[in-house]
Amino acid sequence: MLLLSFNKRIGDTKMLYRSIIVQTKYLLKQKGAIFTFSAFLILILVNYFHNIFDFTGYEVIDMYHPMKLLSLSYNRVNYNADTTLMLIQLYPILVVCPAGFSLIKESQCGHDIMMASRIGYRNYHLSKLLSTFLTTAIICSAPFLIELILNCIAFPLNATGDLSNWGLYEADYVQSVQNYLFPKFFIKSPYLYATAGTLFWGIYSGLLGAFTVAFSSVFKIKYKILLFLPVYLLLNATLYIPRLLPRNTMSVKWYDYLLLFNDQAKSYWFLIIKLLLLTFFITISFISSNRKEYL
Amino acid sequence: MKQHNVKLLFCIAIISGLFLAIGYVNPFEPHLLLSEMTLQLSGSRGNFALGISMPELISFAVLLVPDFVFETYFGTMLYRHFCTASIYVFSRYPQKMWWYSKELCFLVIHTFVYQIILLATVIIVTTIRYQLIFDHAGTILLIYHIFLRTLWTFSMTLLINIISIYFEGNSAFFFVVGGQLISISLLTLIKKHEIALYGNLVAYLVLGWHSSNLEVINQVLSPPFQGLYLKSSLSLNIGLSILISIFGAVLVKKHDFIVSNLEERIR
Repeated sequence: MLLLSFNKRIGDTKMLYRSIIVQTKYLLKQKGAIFTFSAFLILILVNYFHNIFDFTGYEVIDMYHPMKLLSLSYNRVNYNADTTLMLIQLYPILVVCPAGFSLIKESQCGHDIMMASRIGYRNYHLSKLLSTFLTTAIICSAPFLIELILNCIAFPLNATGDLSNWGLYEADYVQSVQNYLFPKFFIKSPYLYATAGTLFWGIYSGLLGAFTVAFSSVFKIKYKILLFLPVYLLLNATLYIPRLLPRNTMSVKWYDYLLLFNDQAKSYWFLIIKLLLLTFFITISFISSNRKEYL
Repeated sequence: MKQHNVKLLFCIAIISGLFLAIGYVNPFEPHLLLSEMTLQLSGSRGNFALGISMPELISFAVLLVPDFVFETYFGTMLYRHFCTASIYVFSRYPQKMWWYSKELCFLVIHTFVYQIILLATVIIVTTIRYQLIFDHAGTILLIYHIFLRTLWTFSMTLLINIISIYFEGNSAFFFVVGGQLISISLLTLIKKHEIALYGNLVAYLVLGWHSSNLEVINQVLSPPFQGLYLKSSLSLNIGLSILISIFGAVLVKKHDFIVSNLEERIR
């Protein structure tokens, strides 16, 4: 009996694993994912060519650090804020596009019933959340990882300049570095720091994508268009809140935590609580959907 | 239209008004002129017009969030008739143009009422928090603000519906709201080319960048750029609304219904 139940569990896990892979592959080929990937790719290419044209002929000693020229680098704002501003404005609606609508779409065409009958509602829902997370994470981080590689090829790797034009030993610069997330990691290896930061951007995006799917499973939404709102309002709320807080307090703006080399004062606790709340909501949606199945 | 929860929308208008009043109307002194309050609602900081720096433009985009919520909510107003019950709707209204005109009237009225409720909430909250002084210039600016925002929100909501019907999907929200957000980002180009000011439709919503023929209004405005006039901005927005309405009429006349009935199952 125990062996049977153990075998069943292994079978369930295998099925779940396979379902996640199949759904992720399927979602990556969808229009929304391709569109979002293209949008981010255009943005990074604009930034990349902008950098190429602007910094051609610079001496290595005058050149800025290649990682600080990335689209995800907040440090770039000191030189030119165009692409960063565009990214900050579009991210709240782009992040939903790759897979945020997948659950509501499938429930509209009856696909969910077929999937639930094959792998069970619990497995279907879990695989949907995880595949959405994976798809959004891949789509949102891949273009920026490409840019990271392009910058490593195009710009001298031993350049160390900061776009604020502060010297590396100036007190202001040292203070601004201390305000980065995990400053010791940055000091040890800026390249690894940028890679890890880009992956964190992807993970956070994945959580937001899964949050949208969780939202659509908990609340009855009539039209897909309304699913743009939860993440859009959530992220914009963090831009509104500082208006109510006294000046010189730590930042709560979402982009201060997600963009690289951001020198605004931050709270690690705020970031952890935010991530935990997102994960908590996604978990609650999963548990409540399990209950729905038994009812 | 009647199926839309209008009460919910007006609750959103009140909540948005509350948020705007607390977050955006913050004078340095205990008293505040109506003109100053109106300018702050269109992006100004105190007596300074909206700047084209990154934090100010992000703040301006947040200021437009209540309008984006409205656009999202009514973005399916016409579209849903085409994908769910178009046959039943249009069999009762053989003259589609009559139906379309009625829907347009509903949309205009609701957009207007939404803006009025939102601003009334802001005024009430500001009166409670500060001493609000009603000045002549402020009244005129407030009227301009209401009409500019009503026409803009109406145009964008209608555009979302039209694009949704044309492309038979609901990606229109992304293009229309995304387009507005890109336009806000492109305002930074004004630093390099002042022509970017006239070509960017969002710039016409910033009262602080305008001039007027009326001296009483010019006294409270100190535009950093020349060339935007309140009357011409209003005319432009009226023209835009009419143009989009005509496009919508042509489309509604030609388009029967969306064959893939995707939205039906979750109603």
